[in-house]
Amino acid sequence: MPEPTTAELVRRARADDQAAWAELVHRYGRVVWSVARAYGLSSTDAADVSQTSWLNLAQRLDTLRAPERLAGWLATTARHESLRVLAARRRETPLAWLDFYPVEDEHLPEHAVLAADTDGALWRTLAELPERCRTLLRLIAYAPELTYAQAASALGIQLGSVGNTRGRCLAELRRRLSGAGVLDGASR
Amino acid sequence: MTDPALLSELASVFDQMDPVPVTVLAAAEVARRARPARPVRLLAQLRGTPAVRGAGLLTFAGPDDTVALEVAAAGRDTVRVIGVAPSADRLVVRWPTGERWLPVDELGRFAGAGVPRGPLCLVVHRRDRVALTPWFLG
Repeated sequence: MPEPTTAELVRRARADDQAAWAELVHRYGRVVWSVARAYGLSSTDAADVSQTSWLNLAQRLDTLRAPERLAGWLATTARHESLRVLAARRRETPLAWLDFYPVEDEHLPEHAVLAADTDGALWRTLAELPERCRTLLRLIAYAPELTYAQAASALGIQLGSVGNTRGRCLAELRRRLSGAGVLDGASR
Repeated sequence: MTDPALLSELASVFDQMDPVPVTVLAAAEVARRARPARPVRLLAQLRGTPAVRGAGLLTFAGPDDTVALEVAAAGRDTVRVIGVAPSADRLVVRWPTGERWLPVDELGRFAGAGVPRGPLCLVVHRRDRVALTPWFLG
């Protein structure tokens, strides 16, 4: 059986189908989280942003106008909530491209046991890429259905740079993985 | 490896680098249950310096109701809310796992301490209707 579409899950969740709601959380929980992290929020703040975003969706689900664009709605909501937290902390950062990423110590690549497989190589290679690459690739990896406009809006970057950055970052990732003998260089 | 295949691999690697805490997903899963059972009107946020763990004024409004409030840190895990909701007969402050009535005087002024930090929502009760603010961080 094919996976239900997002619009179908929204329709079922509106009819109080808890499993459908849980599936939406499963599908998009990472999108909300990754947007909060893209704004440099700590785990605690990102958890608050996640919860507020999902509670607001719960409240607005019945009147959501374009259920098929839920990923974009959630990403934008997470951005608004993240900006509120940042503003409240009076340490608003230029959002063009963030150069920091407060990953907790236990999550730093060098502290992890790396599997000697593709994942391990990917992990190391990702850690070497510029922050803007990781941020954008993470969002589109979690929600490939996001349009460039939605991704730009969620991350507060220029629409025109999304396609270019995505292309350059993926190309750089492939180049490094090929260098490490993980990817067939010719594959595309 | 195609782009979609590579992105799918990346997603699982990002999950390992910075996983979404299980508690965060669990809270999101119960969010839908926390919503009110009867149809209500959702107020729009008009303006607000953010009320996130610091003083700031938030204003919400609908056609017939307005709520203005300030949230101030009161303790390590609690905040104090104070504000005015002129149309309210009764007022409830709600958080994901509970709620509490707040006394409202004849001018609609209200205050309450000991409210848990984190997402909050105000519910304005009148005889004939109920209005909700969007969730905000307190």
